[in-house]
Amino acid sequence: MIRLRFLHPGRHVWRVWRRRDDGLEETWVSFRRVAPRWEKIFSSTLDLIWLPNTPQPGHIQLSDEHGLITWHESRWATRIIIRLRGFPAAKQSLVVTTLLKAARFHLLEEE
Amino acid sequence: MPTGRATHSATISAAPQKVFDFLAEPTRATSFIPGLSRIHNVKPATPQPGQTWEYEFDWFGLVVSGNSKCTRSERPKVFEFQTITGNPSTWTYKIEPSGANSQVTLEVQYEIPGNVVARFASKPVFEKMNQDRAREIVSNLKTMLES
Repeated sequence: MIRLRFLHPGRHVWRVWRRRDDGLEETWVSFRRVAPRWEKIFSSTLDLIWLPNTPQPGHIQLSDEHGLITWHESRWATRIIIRLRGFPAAKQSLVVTTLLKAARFHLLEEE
Repeated sequence: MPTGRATHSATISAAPQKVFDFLAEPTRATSFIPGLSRIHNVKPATPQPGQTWEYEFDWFGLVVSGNSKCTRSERPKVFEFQTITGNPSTWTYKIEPSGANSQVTLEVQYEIPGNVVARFASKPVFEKMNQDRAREIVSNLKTMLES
């Protein structure tokens, strides 16, 4: 039996800004009641796709100067900024899309 | 029910073991399959025949969800799974050594649904969409593994 829904069951995360120059930069906004564990969500996703990274409170540094993920919490929302560089443009797009999927769906079962 | 087949092949500059290890982890598929939003509830954790997982797919704004089951896992040659709910399909990745590289072939066999999809696309359009999707998946896999 196929199941169809018009609304996805994940977190509410929207891409609000995107710029491409020598790298790719995107800003997302997530509206939520309780902030999820972004550090674990993004770090484990990068691990999954074999991108070494160093997680810190509030940001994650990708190894070999491949970029930075930062997030800033306010009362009802989180602003997430992704900066990728050093990869081919096609890989930057795939990685940022994977991270956006993770922001919406990864580790939902823990919340 | 009529069936269709989409296939695409490419050479990837990586050893077969590396290619196999990348694509045989079900949760990693969200990084190279367009529209695949989520893989979860993977049991057991290690790839093996009988391993199952749940998927959610964004199909033009509709969320399609279902279950999949690994049917073949022969490192580093073949990884195969079936979608066992939703629209039945069989996905087979074949990896053959090509010097130091790998020749990767994805073959997807699927039933052509007469109800839901037929409302949105004719059979030739549906088949072309699936062929394009197979090409995109292999291209994405190549991008993720080569750079």
